[in-house]
Amino acid sequence: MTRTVLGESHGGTQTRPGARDFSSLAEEARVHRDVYVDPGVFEAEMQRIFMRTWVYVGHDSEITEPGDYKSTYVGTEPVVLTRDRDGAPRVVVNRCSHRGAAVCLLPRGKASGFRCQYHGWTFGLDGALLGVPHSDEPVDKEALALATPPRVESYRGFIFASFNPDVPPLTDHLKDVLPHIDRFVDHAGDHPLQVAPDANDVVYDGNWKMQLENNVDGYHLSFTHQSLFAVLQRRTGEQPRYLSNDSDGEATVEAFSNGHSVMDLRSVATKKLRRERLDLLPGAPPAGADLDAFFGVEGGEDLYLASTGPPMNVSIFPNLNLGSINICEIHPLSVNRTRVVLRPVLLADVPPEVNRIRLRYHELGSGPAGFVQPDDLEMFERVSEGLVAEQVEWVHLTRGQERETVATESHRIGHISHETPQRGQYRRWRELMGAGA
Amino acid sequence: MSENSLAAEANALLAQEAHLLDDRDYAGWLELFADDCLYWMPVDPESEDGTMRLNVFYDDRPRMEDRIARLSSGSAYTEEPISLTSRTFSALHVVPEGDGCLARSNFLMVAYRSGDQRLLGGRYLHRLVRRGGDLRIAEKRVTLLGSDASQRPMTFLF
Repeated sequence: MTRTVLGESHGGTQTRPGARDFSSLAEEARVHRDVYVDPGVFEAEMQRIFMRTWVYVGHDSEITEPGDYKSTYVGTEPVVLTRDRDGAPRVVVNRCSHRGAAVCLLPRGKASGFRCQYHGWTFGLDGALLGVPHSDEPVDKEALALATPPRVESYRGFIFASFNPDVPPLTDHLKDVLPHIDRFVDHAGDHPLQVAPDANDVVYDGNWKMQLENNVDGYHLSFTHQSLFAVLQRRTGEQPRYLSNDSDGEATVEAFSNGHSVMDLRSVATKKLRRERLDLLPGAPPAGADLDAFFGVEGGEDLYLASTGPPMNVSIFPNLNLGSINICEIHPLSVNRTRVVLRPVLLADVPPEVNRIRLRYHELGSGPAGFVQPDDLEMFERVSEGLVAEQVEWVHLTRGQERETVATESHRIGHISHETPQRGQYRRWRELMGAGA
Repeated sequence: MSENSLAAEANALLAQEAHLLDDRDYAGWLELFADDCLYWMPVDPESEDGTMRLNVFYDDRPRMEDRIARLSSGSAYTEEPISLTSRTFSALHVVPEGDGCLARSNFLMVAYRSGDQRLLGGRYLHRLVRRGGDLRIAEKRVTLLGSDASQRPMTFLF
């Protein structure tokens, strides 16, 4: 297993932006370029957003057994998610309480605890300091446990952590987006989700919010991903429906409270269209095959169609995207550098043929050589390139502003091409980035 | 055929492939492959069978043709402007297998785009089979150093 170290220090607390009010940088339908390029804004975001709200850290199926662990980040804070002996998920900061060395080096694995190899201090899975070499001096073990976020909660297998002891309960925070998480979890009927251990892991030179915004951006699909549609057209001989905005009349986007949002593709991702995409995959069942027999399970056709995932993309503020069959983590590295980790969800109790198709479907679009994701990353980098210009200060998010349905102040519904989700994300951003925040 | 001449034949094929790729002669590159072929890069560099694992790419011939069609479409924006590549392979080790061989080699590739040179290194495994007298590639596995760590887009061909 290769070790990835991408975390970087972002200066000391002496250079932090303090109580500066950044909320005026995000108006209802336009955002100042500083939101994407100013290191001071980034520092404030790490404190006021990532340290203060709920941040996704992993899925139950990534740490099934006691001792299973996964290294990850809460904002720029390196942490380790573990399964404790009592079965509860724990999160510890990956930093020896003594002299600061990282105590967990691999992206995932199984351990009985953590041992700092610098001076030999040992810690339990919950971070408790268990042992210090030399017993000739007293050590306050309680005060020197690994740091832990005070709150860890999960919803239907999705584990979140918060460094804010006063954060509202996780389900209150997720509230309106819960039914969409349910749709993701239940998209293959009763089959439990099993996150693939391997991930496609990419970095781009651009701000973390570009990925969050883009996941629920229906406007860009026909343009940024033209080459995918060209490939599909070449194979099926038909023009894929996403190409025409007029034909996508019923597809919607929604913004919810707390910055969450969904792009709902149910009306365009027809059974026929999903089937066409699946039939192109390497090792797909031949035309006319009996799918129960091919997959070795009853309900083979439903499981086959479920391999595209639920036809929607969900952005959970600030760092989790669900889309197709993928769980996507957004890791901000610096104001202009972001890591995106994508893992497909497989099914826990099906014949291997079903999961083989799901892996191949992920590979079609995702990862550094996919037919979809790299073109998004390219656009993020072109935005970074353009935002170097200081003569033009604002980025516009106006599409659909006058036409979206305002169900409540925080719940708004628009056409798939509207920038309703992005305006919702920045309403939340504004709440968190004010001076009193 | 002696092992030496088999090794020479495999070496010539891999050299031809390297030139075709660096010249972006996609049609010529495809011709080097058997009809029933596999071109893949595992995420886990230790993976030897990608069927049930996640891969960076796992292409049968139709998917290779899709990949090339996409690169040639003018709308694969990661490759507009196109990446230039220059690759070399060495330490070729050939083991006869059936009417062909397994050829293992190390590679180093420089990929250049927009003022940025990236150095990519790893290993190739070519499973070569004989078709109508000539060696053809039945499988090409690209094991990239750090394939399971964060990567920038890699939409060019390996």
